[in-house]
Amino acid sequence: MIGRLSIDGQMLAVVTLSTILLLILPQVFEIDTILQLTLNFSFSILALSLAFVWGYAGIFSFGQAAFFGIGGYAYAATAINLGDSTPAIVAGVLVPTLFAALFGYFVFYARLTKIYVAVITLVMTLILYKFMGQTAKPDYMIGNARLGGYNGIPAVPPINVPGQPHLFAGPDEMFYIAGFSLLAVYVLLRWILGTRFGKVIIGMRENEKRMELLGFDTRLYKLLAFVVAAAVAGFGGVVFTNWNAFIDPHVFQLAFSAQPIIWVMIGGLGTLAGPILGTFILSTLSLELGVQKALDVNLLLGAIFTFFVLLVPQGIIPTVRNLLENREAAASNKTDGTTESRG
Amino acid sequence: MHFGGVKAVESITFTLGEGELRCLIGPNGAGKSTFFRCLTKIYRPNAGKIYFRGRDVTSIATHEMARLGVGIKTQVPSVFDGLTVHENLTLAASARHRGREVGRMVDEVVERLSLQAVLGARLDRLSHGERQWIELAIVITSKPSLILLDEPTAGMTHAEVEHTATLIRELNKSAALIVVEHDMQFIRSIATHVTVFHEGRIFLEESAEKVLHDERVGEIYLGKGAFAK
Ligand SMILES: Nc1ncnc2c1ncn2[C@@H]1O[C@H](COP(=O)(O)OP(=O)(O)OP(=O)(O)O)[C@@H](O)[C@H]1O
Ligand SMILES: [Mg+2]
Repeated sequence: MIGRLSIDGQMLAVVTLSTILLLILPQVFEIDTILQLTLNFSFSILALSLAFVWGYAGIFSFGQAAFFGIGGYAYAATAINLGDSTPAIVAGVLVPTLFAALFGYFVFYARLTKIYVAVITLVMTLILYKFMGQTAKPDYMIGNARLGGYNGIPAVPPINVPGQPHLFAGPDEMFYIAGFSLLAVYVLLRWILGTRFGKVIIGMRENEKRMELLGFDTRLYKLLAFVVAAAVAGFGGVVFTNWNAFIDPHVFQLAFSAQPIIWVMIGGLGTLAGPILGTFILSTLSLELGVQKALDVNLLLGAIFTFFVLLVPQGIIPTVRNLLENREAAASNKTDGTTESRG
Repeated sequence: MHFGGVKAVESITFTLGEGELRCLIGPNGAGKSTFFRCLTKIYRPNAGKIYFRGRDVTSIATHEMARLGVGIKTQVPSVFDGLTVHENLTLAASARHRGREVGRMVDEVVERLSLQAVLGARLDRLSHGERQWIELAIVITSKPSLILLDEPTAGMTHAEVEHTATLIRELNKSAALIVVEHDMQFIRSIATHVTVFHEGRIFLEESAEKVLHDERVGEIYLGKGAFAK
């Protein structure tokens, strides 16, 4: 099958190019830029998790950042207690996964409609914000780790060579770890989308009623998609917490929860590359604007976002793809093949 | 089945034999689609029982009903608009089958309905008639043993209607069918037995010839002006 082959070829090209880029960048850029890119990698993993659950499974999870935050906290608490990052990374993925499984079970098996799913995931995030905020008292300890309320958990141990806490990652190593993590997550999600499960969740996005009439238990598939996305977001949170050796409740704030939604929309819903692009554009923009200090950053970003949604409602990648496809169609009037969504 | 004060379907006793082909007629709002929604468990009836092959299926879910082998072509085409014809059929086949079998089932239906030319086309780029046809293909691909068709020929050309009639007779060799239709010519060409719905109740259940010549049936329809002999 030609379609299958070209997608694999595309994947190989992406992996090769990204690898070369990741290896070169630290030689070219100053440490500031490397740190900023590392942060963007962790944000991009969060964006990918939303791109998956929203763009492919059609579940608008307004509280996707909550799993990012839970992952970060779980990593921090475990790493502080055990002094080794390996079990902490596992905890950073496992805890949000289990949390999502439990939470999602009640949400999806109750057959809540889309809008309620959006609202309830947001409310869940805001409750976590309040809860983590009031943990300043010393009684709130997980083992040796103080949760610290709005001040968060400082001095989180960085990722180390398994079993050897004294061999830990510095900024350069962290850049590679974050970069290759993002690449791995991208490849993993691409792969999932090609499996039967991936096709089923796309079918659910297109027509949930029809899926049920065919015999698919959509509650189960929604739950699974939600759980996969939570695991990915949690992993992003692990990388993020490593980036500044710190985690605090601001990841559960409304403003933070809104960010991945904007990244995904700007880059393009229904693609994976788009949300990564969106993340990089917007984080870089807000950093640059922050440096200028001439205008209120949030105001300007809001304005940019509004214009963007009005002018390029589909997002960057789908718009560019449509332009290219139209040109191709004009060049040769032959219609062929599948219109599988790639990105 | 009640909606607030509206009684859409009430006290229906309907039995379909294994391998039977039955037509369902009745004026607009008679409750035909609602009856189908009860059978597919989109609606849960306020009262009454539903049995499928001797099993009480009154309280099972839509997807379970489908897994037992009940397939439906709904009145308003329910397809995967953003996906290609091939992807639509693949999803239908993978509902109850895995692996190589899926591709084989798709190929079989593509062959049977001559869909080669539109295989790569997205559903939202097709005409209403074509979408009806693809939904029929989706239902056939999933290999149900009871097929419900809600006005399958709406929006089709004369040639397509004839093609559909042939197809239905063919499907009936391996499955039972209930077909909702208004076109009497079409009904005559496919069914021996017809059930007439009127105001949520079964008004008459007779052979096609008798029903088509029954004056009372004409009257029910006359008010709506849709009885085309
Ligand atoms: N979800 C609903 N809520 C309220 N009333 C409904 C609902 N669904 C159907 N009805 C009502 O139930 C009655 C039967 O509707 P139904 O769609 O089953 O008729 P039908 O026989 O399929 O008609 P048609 O030939 O127009 O398709 C109508 O009076 C309709 O308005
Ligand atoms: Mg109807």
